[in-house]
Amino acid sequence: MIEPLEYSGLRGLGGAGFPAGRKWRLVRQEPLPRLVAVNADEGEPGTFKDRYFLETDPHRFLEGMLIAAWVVEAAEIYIYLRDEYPQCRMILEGEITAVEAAGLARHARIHLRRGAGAYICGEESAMLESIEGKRGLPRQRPPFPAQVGLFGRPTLCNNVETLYWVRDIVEQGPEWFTLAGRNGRQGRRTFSVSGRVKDPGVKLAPAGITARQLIDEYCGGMAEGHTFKGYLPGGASGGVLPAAMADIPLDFGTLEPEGCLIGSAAVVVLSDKDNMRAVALNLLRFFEDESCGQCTPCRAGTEKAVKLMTAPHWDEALLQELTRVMSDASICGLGQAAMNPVKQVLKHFRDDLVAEPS
Amino acid sequence: MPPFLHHDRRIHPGSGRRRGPDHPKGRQVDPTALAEVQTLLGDRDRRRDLLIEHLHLLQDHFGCLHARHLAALAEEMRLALVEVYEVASFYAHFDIVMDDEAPPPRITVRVCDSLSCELVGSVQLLADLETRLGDGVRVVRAPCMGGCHHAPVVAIGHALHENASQRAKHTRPPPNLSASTPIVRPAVIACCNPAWWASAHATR
Repeated sequence: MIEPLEYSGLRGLGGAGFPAGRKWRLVRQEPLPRLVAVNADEGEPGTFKDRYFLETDPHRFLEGMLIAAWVVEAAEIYIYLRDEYPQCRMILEGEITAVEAAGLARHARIHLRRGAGAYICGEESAMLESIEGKRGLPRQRPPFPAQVGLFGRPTLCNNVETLYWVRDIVEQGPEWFTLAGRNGRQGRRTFSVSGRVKDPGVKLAPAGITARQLIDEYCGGMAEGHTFKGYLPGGASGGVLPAAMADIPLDFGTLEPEGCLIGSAAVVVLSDKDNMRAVALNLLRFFEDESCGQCTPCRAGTEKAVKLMTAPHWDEALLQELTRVMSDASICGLGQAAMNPVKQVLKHFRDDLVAEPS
Repeated sequence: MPPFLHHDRRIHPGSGRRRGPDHPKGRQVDPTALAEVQTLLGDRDRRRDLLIEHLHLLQDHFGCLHARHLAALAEEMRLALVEVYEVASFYAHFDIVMDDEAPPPRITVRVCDSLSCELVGSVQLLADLETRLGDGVRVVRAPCMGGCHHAPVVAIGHALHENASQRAKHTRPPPNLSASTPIVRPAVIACCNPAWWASAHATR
């Protein structure tokens, strides 16, 4: 089971992009008892693909999950579902009962756990804390959850979408997955497209597609009266890129040289009607609200950044210094990536800094 | 009055004259609140990892988390009150209400303020909702709810209402749209009727 998965190149589609097959292998090497924790706490602004899969085809996901538990010999599965999706909870409650009644889950007990409105609990280790009934404070790594995870046991943590693709890869062979891909990249990707396009929504597209191709071929072009100006390639944490850089393949590893991340593949398209300074401020306000408060660089840094960014003129030197401190010293990805939009706006959208947004 | 003020602190504890307090230290558990919590929890496991699930039970049933129920839950789950409080106060979907405070309105409308919704006027939508919805409804801003392709989005209770604005570009605007037309879609207002919510809650 692990081999086709490794060969398919399936990666963690929650945003981190860790090779799924390798993760399964690593967890299998650890002593029993092992656990599975499914991340359905889709909180990255602009992302709605997991919701789409849970609403339209929950069985494909449940099957992948049961296969994962069987492969790592886990007797307990925990699904951590965000509280914003009560409709998905109803669907899953019904379908889990049906799956158990059909005798398909004899090897593992399934627990459905409800989040309570905290973005940070989408971070793997914060999710584990939350499943344990605690505050969602991310843990220091190492040890990684594959070694010391939920209740101190080796734990396989996978995103809903990662597990969703397992059945197809097994049924149709790993080539089915690898042969998709464009612009020299391999695999399939689910883009959540929103913003100034004619037809936003969940778009199943080959990995490596560029933002321009995605907008033109999958979203019917830009919305009426809007000219393409820039885009967020990966939600709030993924940074911002100008339209001039819309021909970069969207995949893990391709955007990092530009200081961006594909993350959960949440593409937010922005137009000439949008002020990038206001965009960055919106994102930083979000991080300020959602910082868990555990480590000082992030707790104080996000607050300081919002203060600096609401001033009529941005203190660039101070913002750059803050960016460095936060990305170097924060415990988890939230603080490390929070300043990405600021960095990118300072680099690519200097025109928007001049005028105070209306 | 907190219990420690009952005693004269000038008497040295070692003098042998100090009377022991007649009840344990800290917030006392209200027997009524404890009974309510026990009824609600039923035969559910009291394991520590179920704390958030149990808090949801309380929040869903009472519309908020009363301090007296938190103390009772701590007692019932054999946790320190602070362990319950720190978890309850961490998550945005729990509303802690001190015993001398009024509970929040029964209906909470959450208006998404994340980027895709802000692009299509969630700020104006929030202001519009605040003026149009009276007492008995609380309007708050909230982070992304996963309806970015049908922005702007609001949640009434936790039920998602997409395309909540009449002015968003990708929704079909009403035929006679003018400057005085409300931003919020009438169906959203209709779903926030306190009388309807009260009857729905009574029949549950």
